[in-house]
Amino acid sequence: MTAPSRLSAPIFLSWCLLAVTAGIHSDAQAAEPNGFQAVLAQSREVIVLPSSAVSGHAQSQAGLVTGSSYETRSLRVHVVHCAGAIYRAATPLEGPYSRIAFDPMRRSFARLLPSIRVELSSERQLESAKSALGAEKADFFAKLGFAIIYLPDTVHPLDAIAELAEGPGRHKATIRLSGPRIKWR
Amino acid sequence: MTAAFAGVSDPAGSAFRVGALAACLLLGACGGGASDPPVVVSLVAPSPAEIPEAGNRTVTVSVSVNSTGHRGLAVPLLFSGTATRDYDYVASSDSIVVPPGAAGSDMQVEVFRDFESEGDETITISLGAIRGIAQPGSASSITITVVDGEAAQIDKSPDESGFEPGILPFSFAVTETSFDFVVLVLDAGESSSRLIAEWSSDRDFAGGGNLVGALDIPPFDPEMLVFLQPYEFRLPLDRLAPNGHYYIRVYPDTVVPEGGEAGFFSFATDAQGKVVTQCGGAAQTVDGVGPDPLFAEQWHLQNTGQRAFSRNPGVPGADLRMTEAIANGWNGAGVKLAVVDSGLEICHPDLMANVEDGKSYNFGWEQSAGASLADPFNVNIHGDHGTGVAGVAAAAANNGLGGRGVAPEVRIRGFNPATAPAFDLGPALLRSLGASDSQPDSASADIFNMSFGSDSPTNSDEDFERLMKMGTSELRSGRGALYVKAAGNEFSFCGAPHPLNAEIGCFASNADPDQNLPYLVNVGAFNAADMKSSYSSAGANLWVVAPGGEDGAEHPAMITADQQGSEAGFNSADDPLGDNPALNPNGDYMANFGGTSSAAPATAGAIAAMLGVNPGLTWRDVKHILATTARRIDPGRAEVRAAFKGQPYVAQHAWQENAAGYHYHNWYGFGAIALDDAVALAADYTPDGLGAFEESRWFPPDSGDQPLPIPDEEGGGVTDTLIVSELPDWANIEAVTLEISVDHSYGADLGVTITSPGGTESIVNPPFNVLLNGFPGLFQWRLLSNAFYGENPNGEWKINVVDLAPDDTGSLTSWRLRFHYGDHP
Repeated sequence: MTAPSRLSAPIFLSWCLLAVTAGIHSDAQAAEPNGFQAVLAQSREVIVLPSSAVSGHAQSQAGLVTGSSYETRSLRVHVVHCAGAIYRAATPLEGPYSRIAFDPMRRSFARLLPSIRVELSSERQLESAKSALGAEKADFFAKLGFAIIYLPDTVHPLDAIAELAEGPGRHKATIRLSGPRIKWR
Repeated sequence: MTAAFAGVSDPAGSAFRVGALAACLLLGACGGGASDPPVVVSLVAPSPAEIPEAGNRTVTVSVSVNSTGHRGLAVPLLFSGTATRDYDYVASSDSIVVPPGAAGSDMQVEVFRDFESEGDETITISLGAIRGIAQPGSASSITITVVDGEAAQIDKSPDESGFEPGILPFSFAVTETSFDFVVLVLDAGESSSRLIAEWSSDRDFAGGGNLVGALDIPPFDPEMLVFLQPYEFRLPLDRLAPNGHYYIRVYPDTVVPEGGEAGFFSFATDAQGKVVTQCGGAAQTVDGVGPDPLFAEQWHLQNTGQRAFSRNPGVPGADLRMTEAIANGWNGAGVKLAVVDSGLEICHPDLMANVEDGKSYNFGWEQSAGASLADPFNVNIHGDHGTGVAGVAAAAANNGLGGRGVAPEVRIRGFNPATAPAFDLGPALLRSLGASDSQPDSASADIFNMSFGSDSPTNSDEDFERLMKMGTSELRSGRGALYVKAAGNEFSFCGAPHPLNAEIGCFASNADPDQNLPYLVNVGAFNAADMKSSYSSAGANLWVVAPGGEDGAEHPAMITADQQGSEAGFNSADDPLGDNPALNPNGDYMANFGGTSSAAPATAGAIAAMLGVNPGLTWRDVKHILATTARRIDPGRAEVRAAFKGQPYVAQHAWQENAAGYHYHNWYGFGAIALDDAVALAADYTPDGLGAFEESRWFPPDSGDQPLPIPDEEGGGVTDTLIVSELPDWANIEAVTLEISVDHSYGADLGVTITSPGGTESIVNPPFNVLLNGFPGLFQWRLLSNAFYGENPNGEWKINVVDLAPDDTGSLTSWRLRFHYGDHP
């Protein structure tokens, strides 16, 4: 069995960095999708919400989801219409913490994690994928057939997924969502 | 008429054939000859005649006759009163048949508990028209008063007690000069403007706190979910003293906490004023020999009725039944247990003898100056959950210190994945649970203790399921690792949105997505009275129960290792053991540990003892032995039943024996671990004898995808079926997974029961499951049942879905079943 790669600073440092730099980065808006985008997070379909002030829609298993996003002085507000109800969420204007998704089946919001899950089977493939994304850190689970690649703050997960899908490895990748909180019992 | 009785050979026994009375019944009485005196029939009221509705009471109504010289009577009955038959109660018959020569007979009236506000009601039973030789006596009518029970005031408003706190600890880092910490703000109120962080050297913040910093936070619109970036604070160490203990609390300035209630972080400083980030070495002799002084109070190992420092004694025998294991030294020698938890104090005097050198791993070592990669030390001095867990499983025996573990020779290693940021523990958990063979080496562990969990009405993610499949098929040289999981502590304390919650629980154990996989050993807890621990979550995915105890004050909790020192750990003022000068002079132990977090390592220790005597056992062998040898506790526990719109519904079954002969209860799984029996069976067990572990395809229902409306607030619900016919005749079910979708506007209204071809019923989702409060239906939700263990899957399966609360409605839109099975001897 191969050990997971631990190729750069620990997770904590990158989170701290995010907290410090979120107000400085302009993020990669130019490369980000402007509309609502239905994607699979493993077997769960979600609508990734835009990182700019737009209106849009997406077709999901649960039906049509429409919505709009607008900005206040300090927050981006997302308004989602789904199954006859309205759902609202707000995020910071920029940076990784501004990225959220809406789950139309469960009618709830979730954070996009600043990482992606990539199906691959070798260290060589992993290094290739990281290089393509400008990523420095990853957890590789060889026995499980996938890796978690931690993205630079400026890279939106959807862009990273598209990059890998179009790249020479044609790697299948998915976004990652924050999970339920773990409690000691 | 008399000729009709000529064939009655045994008037009082089974040979009495009611059918033979048909001609008599038409006339109402089958008396003697025309010259015989009439038989006087009287009704006998039950005693008492007032019956509380709450207990699902069945009462007996009798008739008596004044003479036994008759040849059988059929006494017709009339029912009236304010209670409605077949809605408020059901009568077993419209008449009472008195066998020939008998002085009387009876029938039953079952009163429904219905949670309706209807006042006390009456059931009047009168003698019907009696003809022929019989005649009514003076007591020709009786009245039973049904005392109205508790009405359900179903509260569908958000349950405040179920909310996450508004501020969560996120992560921390230790530098040479500061303690840096990060929190997430989830909800700070509509008018909050400042987030305050304070420190104190007093755990309770007596005299207030010292300011670390304050940050602006925007107001929270109550109609909106707000995701903010974390807030980071820095506490310079030069403000603190050497050899101190420090506590940090964080709160919005609109709600000043009481004492340390908002305390998320804490630490100690060393003689140089640095934050202590590694285990400092034992202050006591660790190579001692002699009895373990706390063993006598460890009820879970040998319950003699001791109090374990609480106010009430336990019940002798309410324990792991491991007398022979202790006497014979079945201590788990040679078995490797990974404690995946908050940390592990590897230098604890009662643990260090069993800690594997260099095998533990500190996921936070790079973020804490002075920390060691192989030392999962918990910087937080509020208590280290993992050290307590490890003590239950693996505290050394006969070293003259503290108590002992269930398997006092098992080798342990600790991993602390929770030092990863709060919302992305996934990769660290995978690395801790067998997917890594270096940094950390988890792949060489035999058993993983998982005293943690989450609550979400979703499915286990694909990564975790892939890990479980790999771990149970590849680790331990293909015999499969054992994943022991704490079922949850959410039975109580939910504010009881419905009265039934007090009996069937608040959050079911299916609330944890990972627990709906067949690869785990899901463990509930029992207490020193041999009953379910008050908090232990119930559900069809439990495998067994093990000791977890209660609170430690009123009733015994678990006695185990604690962070070393009086100033650190859970061993605080409310621990009855405290700093007992004779038994706990250094504050290294506690008597107030509990939860299914304790039941899991007790089980892990028991499994270690089994593997110690037979290392060749596969993971399925171990589960099979546990199920086979578990003892039924609380055997008289009655089913929980109520009627909704006059239709009875079983919300929780009593112990059931399934078609394969296994007993199962949603509170207890297959029962309490009986360690001596399990080890004895393990010792003689031929490994890998359960056949290949097969996973079937999904079986859809016979109704296809047509939505089936669920009647609102009716106990009968909607029922659908499917036929399974293609699986092998030799197949023995090891687990059944239901995947269900219900389009509904309030998920907590729904109860789901599946019934096997063998007639075993399993409630896979109880009604009023607080997890589903406000949740819009069920969406391809996968629910596990172990209740069908050993049965053959072929035949007709049924699903019943009920909606037991008013207003919200919906339909069963899809369901299907999948079977894991083997070929059992």
